[in-house]
Amino acid sequence: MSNDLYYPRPRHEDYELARLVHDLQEADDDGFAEFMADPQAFVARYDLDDQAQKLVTSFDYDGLVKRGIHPMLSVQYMRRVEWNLKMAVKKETV
Amino acid sequence: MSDAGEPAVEIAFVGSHAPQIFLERQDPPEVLAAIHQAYARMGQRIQESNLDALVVIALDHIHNHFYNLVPTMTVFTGGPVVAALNQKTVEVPARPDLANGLLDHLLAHDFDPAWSQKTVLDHSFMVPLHFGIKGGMDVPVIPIILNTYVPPQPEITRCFKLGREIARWAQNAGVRIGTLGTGGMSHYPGTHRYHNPDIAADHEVVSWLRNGEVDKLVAMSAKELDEKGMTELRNWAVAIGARGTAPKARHVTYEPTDHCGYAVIEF
Repeated sequence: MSNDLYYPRPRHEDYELARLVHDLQEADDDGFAEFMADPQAFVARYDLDDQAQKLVTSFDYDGLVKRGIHPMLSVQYMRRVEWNLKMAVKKETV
Repeated sequence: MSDAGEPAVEIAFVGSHAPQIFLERQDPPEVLAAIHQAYARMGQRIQESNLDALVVIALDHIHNHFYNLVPTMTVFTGGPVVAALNQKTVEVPARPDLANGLLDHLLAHDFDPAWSQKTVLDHSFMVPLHFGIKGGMDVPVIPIILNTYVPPQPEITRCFKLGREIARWAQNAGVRIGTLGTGGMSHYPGTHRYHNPDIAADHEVVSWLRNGEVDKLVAMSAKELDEKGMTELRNWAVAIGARGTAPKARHVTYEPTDHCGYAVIEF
């Protein structure tokens, strides 16, 4: 039943990817800064296939949702990344 | 006890919990003002109701409950009640004695909720509590966390029955209880439909509730709730069910926005 839903049942095959996105969502500021400083190194700690790694390191929110990652997780990840990018630009311009 | 002579809590509210209501950086000021005013009124009405506790039914936006364990419903039996949004927190007194009494009652009456003594609740609790307190509400809170977003969720009819059981518990225990179900109305956070909430569906549901036709709401399937962006109305079904089998909306505030239909409704 879940396949056509806006909020589908999470695929167990993507547990590790969802766990990474959730960890990023819940990370403290230092933890998230560590991810932003070197996304590839951070993502390498998780057992992910190449496509999953790329979705996260390229900040591909739509791709995450298309893959089946819960939109709530994807959007919270997106907000955090974008906020950090915005703050980084602000810092540079000060 | 309701006018119909059935078990019923003293007062029930349902209302939106969108972060934007608190953060005030996206919606038109007049929309926010209307919702803030409605929540202030709610705080006042709850305070006037002289309650022993307010049962707040809301959800977890995949913060505390990740996929290693997703409880369908959880009664918070610890204290105090702490809810947060963007490093801002609201802290209200709990009633662990009543929360445990409710938990025991549910376990003895065909429900098997999980329970938690320690958790920081998310904005689904924080936003309505923040504005209720601003309106003068000072009452202990019993949180119930319902899984409304991660399928498979409880059927909405089951949520309504949970509300009926809360009413029976309150009557048996001789306590004055109110309910507040948070969420909705139509919205699709994180999806491509974010800027296209189903406002027509909102109007239809509001009209059912004005007519005391909650049965139409609880007849909706999980798929229909998802399609209409109304998965969170499961929380409403609990709060309304606690007020009676067919209570009518007595005071309705509804404000559509480009991303969510905001409502605060008293039963």
